Amino acid sequence: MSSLTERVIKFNVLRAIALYTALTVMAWCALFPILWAVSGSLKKERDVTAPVLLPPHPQWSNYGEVFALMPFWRMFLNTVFYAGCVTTGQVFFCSLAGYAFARLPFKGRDVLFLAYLGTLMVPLTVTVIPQFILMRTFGWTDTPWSMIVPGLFGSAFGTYLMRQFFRTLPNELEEAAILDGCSPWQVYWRVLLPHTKPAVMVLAVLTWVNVWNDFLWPLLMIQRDNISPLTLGLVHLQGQYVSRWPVLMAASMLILLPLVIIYAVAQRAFIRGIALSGFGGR
Amino acid sequence: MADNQSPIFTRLERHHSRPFGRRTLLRGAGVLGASLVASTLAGCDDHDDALTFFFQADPEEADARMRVIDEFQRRHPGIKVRTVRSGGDPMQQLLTFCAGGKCPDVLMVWELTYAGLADRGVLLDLNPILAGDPTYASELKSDSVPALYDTFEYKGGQYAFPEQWSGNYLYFNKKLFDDANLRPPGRWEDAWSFAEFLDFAKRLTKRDASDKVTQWGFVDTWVPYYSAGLFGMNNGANWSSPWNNPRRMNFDDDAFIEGVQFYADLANKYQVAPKAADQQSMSTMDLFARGQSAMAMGGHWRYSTFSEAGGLDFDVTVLPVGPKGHGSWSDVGTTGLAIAADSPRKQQAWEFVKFLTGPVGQAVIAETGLFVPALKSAINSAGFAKAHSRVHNLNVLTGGPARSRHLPVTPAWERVDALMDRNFGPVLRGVQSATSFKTDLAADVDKVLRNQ
Amino acid sequence: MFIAPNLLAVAVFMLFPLGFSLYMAFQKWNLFNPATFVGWANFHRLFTGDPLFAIALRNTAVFTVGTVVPTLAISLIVAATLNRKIKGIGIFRTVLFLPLAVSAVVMAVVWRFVFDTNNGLLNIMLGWIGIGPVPWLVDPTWAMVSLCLVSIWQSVPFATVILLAAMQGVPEDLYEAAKIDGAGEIRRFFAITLPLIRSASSFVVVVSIIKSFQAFDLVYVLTGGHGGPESATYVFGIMLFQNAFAFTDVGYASALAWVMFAILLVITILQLRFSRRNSLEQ
Repeated sequence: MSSLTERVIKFNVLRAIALYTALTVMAWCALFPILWAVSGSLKKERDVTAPVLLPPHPQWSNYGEVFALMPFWRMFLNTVFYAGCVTTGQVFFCSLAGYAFARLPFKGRDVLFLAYLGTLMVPLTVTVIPQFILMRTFGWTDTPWSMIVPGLFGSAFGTYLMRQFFRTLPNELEEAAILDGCSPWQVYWRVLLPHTKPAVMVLAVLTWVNVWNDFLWPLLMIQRDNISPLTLGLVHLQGQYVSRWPVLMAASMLILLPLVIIYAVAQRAFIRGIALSGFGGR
Repeated sequence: MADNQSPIFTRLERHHSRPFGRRTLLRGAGVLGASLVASTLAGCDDHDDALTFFFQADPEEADARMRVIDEFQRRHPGIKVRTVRSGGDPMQQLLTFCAGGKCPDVLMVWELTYAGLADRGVLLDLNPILAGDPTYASELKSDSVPALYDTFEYKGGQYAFPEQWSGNYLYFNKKLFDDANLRPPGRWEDAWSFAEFLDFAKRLTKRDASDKVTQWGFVDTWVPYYSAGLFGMNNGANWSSPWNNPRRMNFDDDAFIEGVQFYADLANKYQVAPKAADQQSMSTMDLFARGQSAMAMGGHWRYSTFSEAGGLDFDVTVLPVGPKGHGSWSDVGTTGLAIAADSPRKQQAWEFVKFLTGPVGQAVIAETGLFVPALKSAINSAGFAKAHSRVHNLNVLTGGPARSRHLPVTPAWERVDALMDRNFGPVLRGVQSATSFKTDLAADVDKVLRNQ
Repeated sequence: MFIAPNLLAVAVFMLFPLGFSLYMAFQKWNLFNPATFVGWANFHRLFTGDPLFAIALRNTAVFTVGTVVPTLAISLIVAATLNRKIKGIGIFRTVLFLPLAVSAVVMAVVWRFVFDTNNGLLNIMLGWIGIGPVPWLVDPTWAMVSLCLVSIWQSVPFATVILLAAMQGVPEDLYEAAKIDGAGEIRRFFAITLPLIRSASSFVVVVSIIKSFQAFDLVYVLTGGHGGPESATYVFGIMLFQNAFAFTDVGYASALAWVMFAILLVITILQLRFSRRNSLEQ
């Protein structure tokens, strides 16, 4: 082997090592808060400072205590309920509207869609106070309706996403169906919808995660523990048991866990959702 | 070409290998539907007709509260009570809940913040109810401590009845004091001075070999800028004159500034009290509860926590008096029970309030040791003394309500509080002197009060 | 019709609030007593009579710049490192994108534990290299630093996803040609990759600015609803919440919301014009 080849190989090896080191450091930065939280959740309160990642006697009882201190299962079911309702509604109604905007010609379609796009620009802070007042007018404060109805019939963003996707589907699908005599509803339901899986997955995952993690809105709307979602419960727990870190960390991890599972399972949809949620107007 | 199959489907199968089967869709909907049904069934007791009661309490205090509430429900089996526990900022929560149209029926309100609710029409004026029950009204009047009762009178209406005296005093660790051969005063009349207090605190602050503090002389379990203000008050400067609906505060008063500076110096100059950073991991409550502090400033709401702390032998003493002060005083800290103006259950709410703030309920409260009661009969009762048998200087508690000075009552308190937080901060941290109040805080606060 | 439910939702929960909020900005209303018309008084007070507005503006600007700039820089590096076909890159990508799934609230609780002055992991690690404990959440200056750190931690995965997708769209032959010409890896990055993902980068910047400007969940849970130690983390989101729901001064809060909207609009337009001019230059 010539010395040149040797040098090239050595360089490549060094490069690989540098690369993997960099990647590991980055991975550590991304994970360490969560790892520290997990390790904190397994320690006894007075050992919380100990700089060990895996405590010698893991206190799984901390997790049990979470259930004693807050109605965790109740809140978990509530959150699943809210997220489930809103996700189903969003997917269904946004795909309907998205299809209409993409494929059904009607008067004022493009102007209306432009108005939709306009609302995407509006920051949340502008609409939150009037929405609060709306809920008060309908009498939905402190009820599950306030958590479900605003998102149930879809949003401008979801419609935008679905419309963009419908436009990418080949025209021949529709044309053939129309030739066969299908009504618009049938075209939508039987023909196109089965093929919107990627977009539907993305919208479903994004919506689910957003509802699961929502904090400001439950903070304003929900008073009773038995309809409270998990995020609100966690903040209340923190308010009462300020320095009881192991229990707080255990609660945090329990709330995190379902999302991590969803992330692991639907990773690709997740990533695509993030990427798409950005590219507005392209 | 297959005749039954429509041409689309064959082409579809060629384009997409894994179409979104309808079965998957239905399966997904089924799962969601099941969870929906389960949750709804479980949550069907949504709109029950219980009386809602909003209050804030530490976990141990909450237990005592529930015992009193259970006692009420025992005597009034027809009234069901549902509690709503407050998070960190009860006033903001109350305002948001009531603004949203779902005000709790019975509200725990604080002396400093209730005027904001009264001013917005959230609270029911209780005078008409009293007028309809003259025997009870006179009973209440004669048994009440005027300072506490009058606190909840605003612009001619009575918006709450006091349920407790939550003024501040000092808890102290008997063992640590005995070890150092020190004894603090036992009665409000025998007050000690700032200098004496500081001397004791210095002697009770211990450090280890590496100069890290192992035992603090003094910790504060209240809100730091309020406590600083209390030291100002005990230096002869009331926070505002008049106390009810004032147009200006006395924050630029020299005596007030001197008192605040003394409090700030405890942590920064004399180092007998922990700084904010030292308090982050172990709260001041824990410090005292674990015997790592000789004194702790707080009110009776800390009593349950401390009495349940294992191995802590504590007693109570009075606040120190500054050079310009006239006798030792506490703040007329009090919480009261109010009824929501638009409550659909006013009669039941009144029964609840009447129980908890009237002689019957107050006697129960005295026995459980939940609060220092607001009615004289309960304060001086044997039950109260028995519930506090470990406290030797009982006069600090029983004489407290009478030795209280009013804090300001104004609907703009939220804004004043925010200004206090901002301006006291640097002073308490030691980066600014309290004389800065003359220029910044006083002007801003007065502007807020004038602009109501 | 297909779009009816969706259109209804968007109209009721987006368009109506938009208009109503603008209407409220010219009123004085505390949600309990009747509203009174006050013209421009709210805006006048915002700009001349409220010292907190200047504080919030400064803090929000610092927070935004302190989040967006490091996020962009770090995600460029991370995306570049992930843009390879080496063994195990998939695992690293999965790990590095994990923070996308977690909610701001849970992360704030966890990071409070990490930032704890005496028990927190950060101070423990600093202790290993001999640096004294930093009062992360207690000192006003450090509180803002802590806030930015968490915000960066949360934003980097999002930005990385988008930048990585853009990088993967850069044709291989450009790199090949550059390699033949003798350009090193770093030179290739700066000369080829960066210019070609310019649109994605500017997109990341715009979205990050919009998000940071309105940040609430993170700030509220990490440093409290009063804007942290001595208003050090008093940002617009907190100011809005405080005025709307702690002081119930909704007219004033709505005026603030519209001012925020206007500022964001201006920034976005400037950004678009800047990037268009740059691409024209190319």
